[in-house]
Amino acid sequence: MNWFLILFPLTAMLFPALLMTLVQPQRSAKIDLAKARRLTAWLWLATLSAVGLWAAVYFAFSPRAAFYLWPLFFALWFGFWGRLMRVKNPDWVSMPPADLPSRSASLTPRLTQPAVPAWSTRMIWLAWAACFAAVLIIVDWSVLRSADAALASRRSMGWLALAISVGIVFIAPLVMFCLRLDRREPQTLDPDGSPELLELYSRRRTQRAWLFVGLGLTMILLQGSIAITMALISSGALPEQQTSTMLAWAAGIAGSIVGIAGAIVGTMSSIQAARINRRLRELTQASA
Amino acid sequence: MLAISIDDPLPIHDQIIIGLRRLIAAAKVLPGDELPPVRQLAADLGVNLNTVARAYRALETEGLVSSVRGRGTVVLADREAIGGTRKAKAKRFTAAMSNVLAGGKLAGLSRDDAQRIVDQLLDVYWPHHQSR
Repeated sequence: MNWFLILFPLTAMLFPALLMTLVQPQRSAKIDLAKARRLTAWLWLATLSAVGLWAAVYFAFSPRAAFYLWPLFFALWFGFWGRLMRVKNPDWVSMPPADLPSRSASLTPRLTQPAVPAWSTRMIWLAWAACFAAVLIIVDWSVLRSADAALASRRSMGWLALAISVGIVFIAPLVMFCLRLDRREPQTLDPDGSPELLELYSRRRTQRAWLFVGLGLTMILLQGSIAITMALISSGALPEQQTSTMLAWAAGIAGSIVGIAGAIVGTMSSIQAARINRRLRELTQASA
Repeated sequence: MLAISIDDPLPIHDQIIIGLRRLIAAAKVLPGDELPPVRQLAADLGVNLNTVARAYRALETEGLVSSVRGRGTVVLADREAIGGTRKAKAKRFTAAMSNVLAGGKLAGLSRDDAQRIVDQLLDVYWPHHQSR
């Protein structure tokens, strides 16, 4: 598994800089190329510093400790990549394009129109309820109430299982919040109200909504499974030592999968935004 | 559909007011129809929330729309609530039309051009099946 400990954080840290090299500067007189070059240099400097820090921790401490530096990705993405893209090619990060001279909007209210069917969000609550119920049933309450020092580790495992199974309920409102934000995404049209643009917006909203639902469901099921495994250890149905080691690995990999999925959602969203903005600009110019 | 132009010297909230008045007058939006929430329209047009809110308030003062709790902003009527006799309203309309036609003539349009444009607009706001 060493390759994963090395590749995952390195890929996460290098990703913003590599993606930036693939994005062409927007063909507009308003683009400040000198500032874009300066911010590009800062992004590379920050990326190399992050990789340097990772290497230092890797060799000075352990691969496991270095692995936990992968969230530096967020600092590089939001702090450096986002700032650079606002200068180099704002179509990737801003909707509608700031330089669009004429903008049109549909008068159909859409904030109350869900992009995904109601059953999909109900599934998230159902998955949580199932995990919570399973933990309540499996966990050995006599162990939790016992004061026996020999049972201390099983007891703490049981309480942790309960805490996780309750704690993950917050994923459901988080998904609802993301779905509401998704519906609030701007839908700027060209002067002719092209159906092609409406279709592109609708597809983007629906895809993102399904990704949020899928991500929420996956997170609940992954963490719910971890809580259920802990409950099984607490009740003595699974051997503590071996299962705990497996659990630590599973939790690490699950967290990484969720991180990767989040990065894919964010990148796809930026690519779609750039595509919609480009088409919007073309259609607006054509109708002028 | 509501359109604004960033390059237009007219303030954006005035463009929104004019655009919505036109849509109401042309029966593209009917009494009872819900207008998009301020947040949605502002995001779509890429303008400040207050700009749209100010335009909605102005239309509310004219009696064309109303804020309804739980339903947002709803088109109330296709007539302004501003008082005045029919004669006074016709006088205001004549003055406004006179300005527009004078502008057209000064811009170099022919009588036929002006007639064609006026006929087209009459069809938008007073379709043949609608006499009033």
